[in-house]
Amino acid sequence: MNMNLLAVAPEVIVVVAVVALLMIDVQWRPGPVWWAIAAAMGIAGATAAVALQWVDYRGADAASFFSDMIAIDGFGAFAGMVIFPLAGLGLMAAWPLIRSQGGRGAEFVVLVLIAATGAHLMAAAANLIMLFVGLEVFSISLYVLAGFTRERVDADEAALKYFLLGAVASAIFLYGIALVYASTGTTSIGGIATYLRSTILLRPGVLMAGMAMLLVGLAFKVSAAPFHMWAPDVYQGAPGGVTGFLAAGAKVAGFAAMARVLAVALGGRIDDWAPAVAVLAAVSIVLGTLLALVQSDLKRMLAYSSVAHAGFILTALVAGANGIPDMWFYVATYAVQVLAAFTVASVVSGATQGRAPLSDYTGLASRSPWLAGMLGLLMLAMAGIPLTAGFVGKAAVFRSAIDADYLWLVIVGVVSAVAGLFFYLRVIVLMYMQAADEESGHIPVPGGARVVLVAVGVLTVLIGVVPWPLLTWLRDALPL
Amino acid sequence: MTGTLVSLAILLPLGGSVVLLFAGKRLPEPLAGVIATLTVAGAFGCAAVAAVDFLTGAGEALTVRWFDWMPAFGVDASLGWDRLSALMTLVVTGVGALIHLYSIGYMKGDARFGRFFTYLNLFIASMLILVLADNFAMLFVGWELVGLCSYLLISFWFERETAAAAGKKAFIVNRVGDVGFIVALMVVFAHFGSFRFDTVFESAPEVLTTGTATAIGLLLLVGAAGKSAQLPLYVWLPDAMEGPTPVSALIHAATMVTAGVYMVARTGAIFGMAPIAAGTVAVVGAATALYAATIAVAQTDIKRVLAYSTISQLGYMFMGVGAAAYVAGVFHLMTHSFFKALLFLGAGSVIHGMHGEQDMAKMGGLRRKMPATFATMTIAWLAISGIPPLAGFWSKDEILGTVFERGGAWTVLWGVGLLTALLTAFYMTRMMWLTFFGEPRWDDGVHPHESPAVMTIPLLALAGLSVVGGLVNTPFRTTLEHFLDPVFDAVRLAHVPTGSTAVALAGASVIAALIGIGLAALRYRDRVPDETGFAWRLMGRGYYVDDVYGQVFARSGKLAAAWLAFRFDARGIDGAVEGMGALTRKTGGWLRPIQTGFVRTSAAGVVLGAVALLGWFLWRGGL
Amino acid sequence: MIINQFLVLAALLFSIGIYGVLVRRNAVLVLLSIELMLTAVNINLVAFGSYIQDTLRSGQVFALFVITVAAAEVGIGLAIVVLVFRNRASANVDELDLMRW
Repeated sequence: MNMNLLAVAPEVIVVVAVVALLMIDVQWRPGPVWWAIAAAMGIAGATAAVALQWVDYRGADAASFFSDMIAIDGFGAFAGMVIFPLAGLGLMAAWPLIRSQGGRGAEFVVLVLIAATGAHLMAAAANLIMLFVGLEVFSISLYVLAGFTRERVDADEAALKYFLLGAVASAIFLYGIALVYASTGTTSIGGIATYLRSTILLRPGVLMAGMAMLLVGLAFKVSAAPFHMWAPDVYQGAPGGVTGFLAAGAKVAGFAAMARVLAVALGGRIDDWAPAVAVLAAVSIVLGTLLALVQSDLKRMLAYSSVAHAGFILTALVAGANGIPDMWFYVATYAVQVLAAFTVASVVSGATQGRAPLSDYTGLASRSPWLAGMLGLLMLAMAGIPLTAGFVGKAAVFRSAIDADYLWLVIVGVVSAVAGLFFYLRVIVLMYMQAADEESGHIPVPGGARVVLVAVGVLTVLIGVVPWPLLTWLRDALPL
Repeated sequence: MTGTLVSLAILLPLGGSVVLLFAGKRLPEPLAGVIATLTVAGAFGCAAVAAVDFLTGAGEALTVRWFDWMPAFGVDASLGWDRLSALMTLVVTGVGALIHLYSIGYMKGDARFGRFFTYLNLFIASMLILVLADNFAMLFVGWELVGLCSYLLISFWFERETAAAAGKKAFIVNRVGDVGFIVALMVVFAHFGSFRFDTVFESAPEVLTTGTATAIGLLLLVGAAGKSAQLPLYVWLPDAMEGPTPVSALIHAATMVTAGVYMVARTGAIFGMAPIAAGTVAVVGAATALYAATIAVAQTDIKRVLAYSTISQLGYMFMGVGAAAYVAGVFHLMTHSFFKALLFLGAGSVIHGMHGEQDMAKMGGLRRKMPATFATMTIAWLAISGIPPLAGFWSKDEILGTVFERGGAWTVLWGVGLLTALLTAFYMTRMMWLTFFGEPRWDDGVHPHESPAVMTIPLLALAGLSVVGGLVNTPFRTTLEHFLDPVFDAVRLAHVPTGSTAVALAGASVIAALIGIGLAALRYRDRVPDETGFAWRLMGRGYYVDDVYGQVFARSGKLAAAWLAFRFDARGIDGAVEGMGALTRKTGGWLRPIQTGFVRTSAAGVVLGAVALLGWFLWRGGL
Repeated sequence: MIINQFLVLAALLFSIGIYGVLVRRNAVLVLLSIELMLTAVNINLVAFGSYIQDTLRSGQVFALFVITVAAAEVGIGLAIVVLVFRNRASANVDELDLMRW
C-alpha cells in the first residue's frame, strides 16, 4: 500500500481547520473573526497543498496512492486550485449572510469547507468508491446550505427539492457503478480503462447500461438537460449568499468527475458515449437558452443560463481526453463568473433572500455604478463577447468539437450563443437604460463582495485579453 | 518603425477612450472633444507616415505581432499592414477625425458630452482593429466591437424610446448576420486549422472544393449583409438614424457599414473560387441598390433619405466586389465615405440650424440662410449623382463598366445599376430642392442660422475630398488600382472596359444622372407636389417590410422572444416585468410549462432522460 | 453460483423505488423509496462482488460505504423534511410550488 500524505494533504488540512473551528467555537465563542481566520488558514493550506501537488505531479509525473484510491495529477491539482479559492471567494461573498445567522454562522463556514473537500475528492479520485464518497460529501453539504435560512419557506423548498432529486440521481449513479463493476471486475478508474482497452466484451449490454446510468448521475450534478430541472428552483430558492458557491462548485466538481469517468475510465468507449454527450450538450444549450429568455428573475435566469453553459462545456467533452484542457478553461472561467454574478444578486437583492426579481435591477447604474459595471461585464463575459474570458472559452470548446468532427454541435452552439446574447444584454439594458424607482437609494457594497467582484472582474478581462498562459498551463492539467 | 506607427494608430484612440471613460465627466466641455479629436488625428498622422512607403512603391506588407493570443487556433494578436488595410485606415481615421471635430460643435451642451466622445473614440479603435486584423479571429473581435459601439451610439439618447428601440433593433439584426459569419469562421477553421489570413488564402486552392468555398462565401455574405445593411437584413440602418447625426455620418455611412464590403474584398481568394457565391453577392448588391433607391425617393425625413441612399450605395459596392472588381468596390467605398459623410454632416448642420427639425416638408429656401452648408451639400449632391469630374462619378462608373464588361447575365446587373443611378440623381435632387430651394415652409419660431465654424470646416474639407477624391483612379490615371495591385495579387480581377466602350458607358451614366436631376428639378422646381398616393405611401414605408418582419418574428422562434422582450422593455419602467409576463404567455408559453416546479415532474425528467440514455446505449451495445 | 435471482431482485427493488419516487406525495415516503433504490444497489454490489471473485472485495467494501453514506443522507433528508413540515404543516411534495417556470 503506497501512501503519500501529499495526496490527502488538502483534505486533511481542511478537516483540521474545521475541527479546530468547531471546537474552539464551542468552548470560547470567539465569534465570526475566528471563523474567518480558521477558514482562511484551512483554505490557504489546502491551496498550498494542491499547488505543491501541481508542481510535483502534473503532466507525466502523475501517480495514484492509497491502494489506487486517490490520484495526484495535474487534473486533480488544477481542480483543487480552482475549488479551494472558489470556496474562499464564496465565503467572502456570503459573509453578510453568515453574520446574519448568529451563532449558526460557524456551521455555514464549516459546510462550505467540507463541500470544498468533497469537490476536490471527486476531482482527485482514482476509484469510483472514492468518487462516490466525494460526491456525497459535497452534495450533502450543499443540501444543507441551500436551506440554510431555516425560517424562509423558499429556502427549505429549495433544500428539499435538491435533496430528493439529488438522492435519486445518486442512486442511479450508484447502480451504474455496480453495473460497470460487474462487467469489468474493478472499481478503479485506471483499472476499468485498462480492462476495457485489453478486452473485447462479447456482450457489452451490462457495461452499456452502466455507462448510461453513470452519465445520468453526472449530468444531473452539472445540471445538463433534461436532468436540469432542479437547478432553477434551487438556485432561485437558496439564499443569495449560497447560490454562487453552489452553482460554481457543482460545475467544477461535476465536470471534473465527468471527465474522469468518461474520458479516462470509459475512454476506450468514446464512440458509444460521445454521441449521447453531444445530444445532451445540444439539448442543454438550446433548452437553457430558450428558457432563460423568458425569465423575470435574475437568479432564475442565471440558472437557466448555467444549463446552457453546461451544454457548452459538454461540447468540449465530446472530444474525449483531448477536450479536457478546453473543458477546464471554460469551467474555471465560468465558475468564477457565475460566482460573481450571484454575488451581485446577493448584494442587490439581499444575502438571505432567495428571489432576485429583475425589477430590482432597473436603473442599477444610477444606484451603484460600480455594481452595474461589474454585472454588465459578467453578462458580456457569459455571452462570450470578445476580449472577455467567456469568448476564449467558447472558442476553445468549439475547437475541441470541431476536432472531434461534431460540426453540427458547434453550429447549434453558435446559433444559441447568439440568441443567448439577448437575455444577457437585457440585464444591461435594464441597468443602464432605464430609470430607477425614486425611493430606491444607493446600494452599499460589503467588503467581501467587493473583493470577489474586483478579483473576478480583473481575471475575466485579463484572461480574455491574454489567455495563452492559462491555455498553455492547462495542457498539463490532464488526468492520470 | 512602421510597426510601431501602426500599433500607435490603434492605441491612440483606444487610450483616448480609456482616459475619457474615467475623466470624461470632470473635463470641461470642449476639452473632452478636443482630446478625442487629437487622438484620431494623431492616428491619421501615424497611418499616413506609415503608408508613405506604399505610395513610393517601396513598402512591403508586414505583420505587427503584439502577443500570443490563442495559440491553439494558430492565432496571435497581430496586425496586418498591407495596402488595403492602409487605405482603409486612412479613410477611417481621416473621415473620423473630421467628424470628431464636427461633433464638438454638434454635441455642444449635451449632458453626456464626454461619454459621447468615449464611445466615438472606442469606435475608431475597434474599426481599426477590424481593418488591421491579420486573421479572422481579430477581424471578428473588431467586428463585434464596432457592433457594440454602434449599439451604444444609436441608443445614445436612450431617453427617447425610439432611439433605445433602434439600438436594440440594430443589435439584433446584426446578430442574425453574425450567425452566418461565425459559422463561416468555424467552417474555415475546420478546413484550414488556422485563422490566419495568409495561411488560409494561400492554401485555399488546395484545401477547398468549389462546394465548400461556395458555402463559406454564402455564409460570409450573410454576415456581410448584416453589417453592411443589404437585403434582407437592411432594416436596422434606417432606424439607426435615431443616433446623433455625427454618428450616422461616421458609423452608418462612412465606415462601419463598409465592413462587409471590406470583408468580401479581403476574402477575395475564397470568393474567387466560388463563382456562385460571388454572383450572389453581386445580385444581392444590385437588388439592394435598386430597392433602397426606390424607397429613398419617397422619404420625407432628410436623414432617412440619406439612410436609404447609403443602403443603395452599399449595394453598388457589393455589386462591384461580387463582380471581382475589388479595386472598384474599394474605390467606391472610399469616395462614398467622403461624400456621404459630407451629406450627413450637412444634413446635421441643417437640422442643427432648424432646431432639430428633420421633416423636409418644413424646410425650403435654406440656401440663403446657410450658404456654406448649401455650397458643400451641392458638391456632395453632384458627386453622388455621378456628375463628372466629381468623386462619385469615377468610382460608380468603374463599377458599372466592369460589370458590363463581364457580359452575359451581368449586363442585366449593369442595367439595374444604371437605373439606380437615375433614381439616385432623382432623389438627391428632390432632397436638395425641398431643403434649400423654393419658398420657406418653416414652422413658426424657427430661425435657421448657419452652423459655427467648427462644424463648417469639416464640411469644407470633405467637400474638397469629394471633388478630388475621384481623381486617384480615373481611366487616365489608375493610381489606386496600381496602389492596391499587390493586395489582390493572387486574385483574378475583373477588367475595366477600355476605348470606345468605356466612353459610351460613361456617357450612359452621365445621361442617366442628368435625366434624374432634370426630372426632379422639373417636379420640385416651384412647388411641393402631393405625395400621398398609394405608391408613394408604399415606398415611403419601405414596402412595409418592417411591419412584416415584426409580424413574422412576433409569432415564431426564439428570435421572436428576444425581439419582443426588447420591445416591451422599451415601453417603460414597468414594461420589463409586465412585458415578460406577456411574453411568457405568448412565446415561452409552450416550453415553460415543462418546468412545473414539482419534485415529481423533475424526477420524471431525470427518469425519462435515464431511459432515453439507456435506450441509446443498449442499442449501441446491440441488445 | 447463480446470479440471476439477485439481479432480478435488485432490478425489481430499484424499479419499485423509482415508482415510489414518481407517485408518492409524502416526502417521507419518497425518502423511503430512495432507500429502496440504494438497497437494490447494495444487493447488486454484494452479488457481483461475490460472483466475480474480486480479490479486493471491492463490491462488499463499496456496499459498506453506501450503507454509511445512505445513513448520513437519510439523516439530513429527514431533517430537511422536518424543517419543511414545521414551516408549512405539511410534507406533501406537491405543495412545494413556490418556485416554478
